[in-house]
Amino acid sequence: MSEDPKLFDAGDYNLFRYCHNDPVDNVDPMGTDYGDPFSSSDAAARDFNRIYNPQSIRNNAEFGASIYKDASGRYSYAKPIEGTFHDARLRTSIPEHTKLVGDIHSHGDYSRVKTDEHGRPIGVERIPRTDPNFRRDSFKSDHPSLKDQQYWHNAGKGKDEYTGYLTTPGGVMWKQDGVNQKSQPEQMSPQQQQQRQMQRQQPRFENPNTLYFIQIIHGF
Amino acid sequence: MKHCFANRQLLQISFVCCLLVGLANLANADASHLDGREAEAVAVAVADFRSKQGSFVEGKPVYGELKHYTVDIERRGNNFEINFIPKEPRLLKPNEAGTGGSTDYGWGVTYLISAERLKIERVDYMR
Repeated sequence: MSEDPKLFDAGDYNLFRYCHNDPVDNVDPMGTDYGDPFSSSDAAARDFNRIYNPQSIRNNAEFGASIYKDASGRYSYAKPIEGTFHDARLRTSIPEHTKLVGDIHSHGDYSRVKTDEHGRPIGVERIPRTDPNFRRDSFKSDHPSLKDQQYWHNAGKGKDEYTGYLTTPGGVMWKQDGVNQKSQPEQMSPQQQQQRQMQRQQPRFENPNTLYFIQIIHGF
Repeated sequence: MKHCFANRQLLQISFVCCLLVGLANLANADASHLDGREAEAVAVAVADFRSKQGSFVEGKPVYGELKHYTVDIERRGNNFEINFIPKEPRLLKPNEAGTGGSTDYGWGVTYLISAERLKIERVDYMR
């Protein structure tokens, strides 16, 4: 038996209690998942990232979920829905009496567009990680698209609190909110910088979901 | 003579009406300005876009009809970035809202075109 990996962020003062003492209605094999309470939307986004980004990369499909805040001020994310290789559902159902405060989606894996002899697209394929140019995919998968940014811009209009997040196959999590008006990366700790450097030196990693930092982009 | 005067008055009224309608339209118009070089870059991108229309992936168009797109141009160093962003085919219900690089009209496409040579340097798709 071990304590909850999220410690008090799981919303229970007893770190050894399983599923808020309700194992009949809840299952939580990893100790964290959607519906669990977090202290901030960033923390909820990181949890989504940790659990669903590897699935997204494995299936090369986007996953999306709403982020919400409950009456006690705790944050969580709704059950993620698997989309296609370039579409995600971002307005998944949230529990009653909670407030929608953001969304998160993943970008799947690096992919390229297959074309015919005239350069016209005929399909999409995942780029093997053994390909030295696997990061140069056809979709700029490590960045939010203009359409992502437009969506966040519109979704956040008139809301005092709304944040859009994106997790990517290359180890960067992006965040767009109404407060930060200018692009700037989150300050990384020396340990994170060292890990990031190691990651860059070993680009053929099998599980890219080892380190994420948040890249903040334009506000609304 | 009287008939001719009435016709002349009618013409004058029509002219004033046309002028007013024209001015009203001008006032409501969404003014867009493109530098000549930008227009040339857009022309290059549009030509390539149109040459690839009729392609489908998973049963959906990739390069859709241009009337279903908005086009956005931005200067990036020595290049122009030209984005073709597909519109939503219909108003989505709140629980349908989603993002991604495509709609039923087509995919989002980004061209990077050199400002000097007007050459397509790179084409990316949105996701």
